Amino acid sequence: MTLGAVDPFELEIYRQRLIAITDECWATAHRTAFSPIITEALDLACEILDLRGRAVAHATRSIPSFTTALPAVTKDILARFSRDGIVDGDVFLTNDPWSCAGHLPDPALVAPVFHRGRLVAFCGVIGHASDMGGTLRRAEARDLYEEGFQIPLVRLHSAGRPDPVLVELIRANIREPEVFLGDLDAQINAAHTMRRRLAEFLEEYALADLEELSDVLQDASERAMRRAVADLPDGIYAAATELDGIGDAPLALRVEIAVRGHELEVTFPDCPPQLPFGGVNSTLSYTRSHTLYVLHCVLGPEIIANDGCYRPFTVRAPEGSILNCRRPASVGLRMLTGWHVHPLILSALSQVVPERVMAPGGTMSWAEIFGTRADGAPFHDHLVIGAGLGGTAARDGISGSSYPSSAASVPLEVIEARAPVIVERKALIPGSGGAGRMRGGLGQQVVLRPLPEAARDLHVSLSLDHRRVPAQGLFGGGPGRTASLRIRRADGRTEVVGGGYVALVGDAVAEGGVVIELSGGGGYGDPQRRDPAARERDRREGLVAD
Amino acid sequence: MTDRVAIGVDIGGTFTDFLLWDPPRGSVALHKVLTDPADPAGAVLRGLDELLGASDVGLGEVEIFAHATTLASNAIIERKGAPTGLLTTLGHRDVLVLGTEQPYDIYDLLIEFPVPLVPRRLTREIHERTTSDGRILRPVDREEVLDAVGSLLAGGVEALAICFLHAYREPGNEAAAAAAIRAAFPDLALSLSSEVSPEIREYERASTTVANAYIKALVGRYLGDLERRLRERGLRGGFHVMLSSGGMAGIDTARAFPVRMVESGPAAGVLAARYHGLLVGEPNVLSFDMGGTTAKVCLVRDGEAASTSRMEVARIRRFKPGSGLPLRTPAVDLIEVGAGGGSLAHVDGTGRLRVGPDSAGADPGPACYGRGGSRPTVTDACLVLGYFDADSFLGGEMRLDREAAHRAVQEHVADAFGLGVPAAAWGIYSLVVEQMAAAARVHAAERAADPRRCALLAFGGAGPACAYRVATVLRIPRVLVPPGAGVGSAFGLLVAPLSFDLSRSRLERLDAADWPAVLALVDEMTERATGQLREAGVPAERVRVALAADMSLVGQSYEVAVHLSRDAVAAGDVAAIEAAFQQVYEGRYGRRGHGFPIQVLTWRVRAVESTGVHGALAEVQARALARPGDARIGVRDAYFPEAGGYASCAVFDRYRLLPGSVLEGPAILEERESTTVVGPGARLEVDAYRNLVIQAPAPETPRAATMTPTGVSR
Repeated sequence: MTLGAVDPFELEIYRQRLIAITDECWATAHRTAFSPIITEALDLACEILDLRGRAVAHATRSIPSFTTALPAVTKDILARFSRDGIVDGDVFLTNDPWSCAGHLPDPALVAPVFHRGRLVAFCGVIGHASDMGGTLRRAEARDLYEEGFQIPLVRLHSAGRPDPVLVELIRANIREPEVFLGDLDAQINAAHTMRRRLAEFLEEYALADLEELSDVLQDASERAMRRAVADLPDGIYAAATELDGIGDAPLALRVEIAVRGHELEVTFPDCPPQLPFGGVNSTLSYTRSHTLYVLHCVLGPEIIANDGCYRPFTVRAPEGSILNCRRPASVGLRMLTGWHVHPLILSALSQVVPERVMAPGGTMSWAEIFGTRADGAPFHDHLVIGAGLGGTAARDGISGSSYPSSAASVPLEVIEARAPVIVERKALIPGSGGAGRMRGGLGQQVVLRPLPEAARDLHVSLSLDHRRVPAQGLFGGGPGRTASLRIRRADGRTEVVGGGYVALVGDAVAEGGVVIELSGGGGYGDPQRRDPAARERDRREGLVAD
Repeated sequence: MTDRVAIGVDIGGTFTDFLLWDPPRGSVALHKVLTDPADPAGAVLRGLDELLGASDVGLGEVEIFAHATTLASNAIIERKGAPTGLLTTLGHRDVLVLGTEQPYDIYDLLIEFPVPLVPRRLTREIHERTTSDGRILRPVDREEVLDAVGSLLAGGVEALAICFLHAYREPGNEAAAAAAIRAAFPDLALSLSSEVSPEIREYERASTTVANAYIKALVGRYLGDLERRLRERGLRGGFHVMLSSGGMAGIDTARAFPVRMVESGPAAGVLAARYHGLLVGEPNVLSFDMGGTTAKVCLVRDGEAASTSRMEVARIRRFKPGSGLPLRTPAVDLIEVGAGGGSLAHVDGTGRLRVGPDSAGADPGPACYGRGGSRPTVTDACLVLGYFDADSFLGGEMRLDREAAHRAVQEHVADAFGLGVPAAAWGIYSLVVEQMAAAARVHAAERAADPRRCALLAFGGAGPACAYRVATVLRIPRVLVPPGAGVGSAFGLLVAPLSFDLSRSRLERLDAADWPAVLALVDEMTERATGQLREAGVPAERVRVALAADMSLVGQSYEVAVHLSRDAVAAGDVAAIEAAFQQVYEGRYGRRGHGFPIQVLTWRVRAVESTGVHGALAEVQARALARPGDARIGVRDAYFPEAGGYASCAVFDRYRLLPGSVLEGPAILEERESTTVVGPGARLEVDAYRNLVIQAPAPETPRAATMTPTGVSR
């Protein structure tokens, strides 16, 4: 069949079918994975890519920045191995932050999909790793070598057979390697599912591969996105923000968005140079992923995500800067920098589409909880904690949200069943949302301590954004509350911790704990114009400080 | 229960349906009245008077009164429940507000979340704590609990939910708090998480418990009132309520756990499909129920409807998973799609044709209803395609406006693409078909079932019009359209066995399980579940118990339900239990789970009344619907791509077709509440129960060749 004759109705059917296939692959990986960062937090993406390595469709619940990273990995595979060098049963793996998702613990697994002996597509999956070796004192890492086990683009499986050397290396370098390998296995299950479903799809419609269909689908999304860009007045829209950084002074970031017709160029001029330690450098691939993501959200959330969507966009950041760092910079906490493209771009675009943006928000975090049980067994789990988002033209900011990661929180009952901890408190912080006509969402406080007698030692490692610089308001709205981290000692004293890492040793702090406070979102619009009924509701519900 | 005099009453959004089954006299009577949202029980009694008045049966003779209602779900959706308070563990009052903390649409910055059923100000924290392995670190303090409840009552609370951390494992603190509260405030309606939904994951458990508390008084009042009025009129038989799980429960269970009846109507529909399938020797069916706004699909395999313990109600973004309130209660696992006869079609800002999930509803309804609707719906497309007839819709009671349908399709779809109206109508129709097929495909695939090995069983107002095409897309060879599609759920009420489900989370590795303790738990659950059935009047010898465990590899969070024997548990036969797990796991995911120990998360017990499948009800219903006269009532042009466009098509009155009749497609078969469309080349037979049994032509080659008869280019 040739697609020259495809009508728009058939096209819609194909499009929905391909999304349904990715959804099923995603569900397979989700349900057969082991690490709660995938099974509960859903830190997972799944995508179909065509023979040129371009995204065709991704699973509805994918982590957005992953879906824009998978094409780069697939294009690398094609460049390195060529189509002819790829055989059925191959599985490729890499965690290279420069081509992939920006830090080592987000490895990409890409498997070719064969049908009737021909390569017809690729299945790409990224799932957050339970562990990637290296230091868990992420804020202290000086380079990539300290941050963990690097997997350059290699074959995990060749023609269906696992590479025993690679598996041995993984076992030697990664904590609890069974969990990591089990999660990779779950991702391979997803590729198997895609193979079955794509075969049915291609048979049903007598397609040899996805190439022509992919062009049509991508062109449709491209046209829609170009129309959305063209609807913006031409011009240059700029914004500036500050972020915590790792030294004594905040760092400044700027953006310039140049809209010319149906093209849009995002530049981050005068970026601070990359930092020598601390993990807060963002690779260009990660900067680009989040830039594309937030542009998609503002300009056309209804446009089907694929390669075409992003063709009207160009992203530039100076090489050697914190938004485009060079190897082997430390990148473990790259979201502390990379996520700031969201408030920058939202603020810049608020000048033209104020009703489609939200004010800058607080930043979610995840606490890595690890150590040794009383019986000597190790544990390592992730507690995902959402922050308050910024207000929008139509509503208050959401309290407790993982945007822009889009992960889900891990139930405390699941955490406590896995790790010897007690989460004493997980609650909103009244008054932490920025004032505004539409108030910022609230940050939250989490208090956790070792479960007496169950933990030999317990460590908490987490990165906290907005410790120093709060999320700003928009259109006169106030800033959200900042984040903080304290250790509570047995005698009741608390110590403020400056960095992003805390160690708690069971005996010494048997009744102590860590107090984590996440930031609130910025307000939207003049607080004087807030609806009195909304004020009254906030007071009644205890959402504002007394 | 098809051997006793029974009445099924299903309250739906628009109609309340009645079905009376009188085995001694061998008669069936159907009735329908408009639902009265203000006094649903009043409408039931009125309809009942009319139904019984026209029959020879007195209410005193009725042995079973079986009921399904949308009351519970509507009360949640419309926020009509009681002001509810919540007691949580100290430090965790925001469990409902925080939810999953995940955006349910990754690209939409402006999404909203549902407001919790209990506001923050009506949540109180109690200083108590239990650990994940069931140790009580700190017991509840009676005075503190009473102070908290007292302040909630002063704040206007009329119902109370208690959800403490790890109460699924150790309910002691919840029970102690409840005992103190009952002693001090005997009239306060209480719901405990350890009773309503004793499963791990605090947000889902709290959400379920709160929903139960929220509707408890309303549902209790309604059921109590209805039962009292029925008893006053002489009902002596049992009063049973359909639960979301497809089980039938006594009124006490329904009043204690109303959250379990949120999907009672749809569950009854699935049971009707299951029954019709079994009756004609098809234990594997895809139940396909398409109405005005939604389509529901459910896999029935080996005579068992798929079940789940995760569902969601009151989604604020229609059909978007994650945008509603999660409920963890046993439910028939149906997938619901925003695709019905009233689903609106339009071309969106990005140039894509969209159908649904928005619906024209009953008012204004489709453009062809002539009540002011101007946007095209699936019903309008069916009219343009010739599948519906302007004069015989709803038995001719409602004349459809063909011009209006044509105009709506033209202005809103055809012109946008530069296409002809028939091609656009076919586009709308085939897109909605594909959406339902896609949902069905995923639903079946996730349960390791191949739709091609099932029969498609269609009912609901719009189901029969789309079923043949849905089956074609899914390559399902056989479609079954049972008679009486309009009262499917009421029918299901009469063929449902009584049953009761219980579940308890108890996380344990197989290689380290305390089997005597597990056996004690299972036996205790069995005793409770079978006790419920005996109370409902089921003789002990007819009670069957099914035991299942939700199992996974250690470290996974998603479980598969594995049927196990009590013997295996009693013997601690780990090898047999492991083998049963691996079989289910491999069936679902294509590969065995290896390299990890296996664990059980939740034990489930279902007590069910064992009944055979009796054809009598279906036979008698078929007879009751039969009408005399020439079955072929006309000919009209209808659009079939296989025929190259519009082709002349015979039209039949389905209840004039005698059992054994055989037809060749294309054909259109009309009945009052629905129309069955059969494509060219298909073979249709009317069986002894007056089911329409449609056999697809041999699967042909690629569908694409048949999809664009007009050769439209993009």
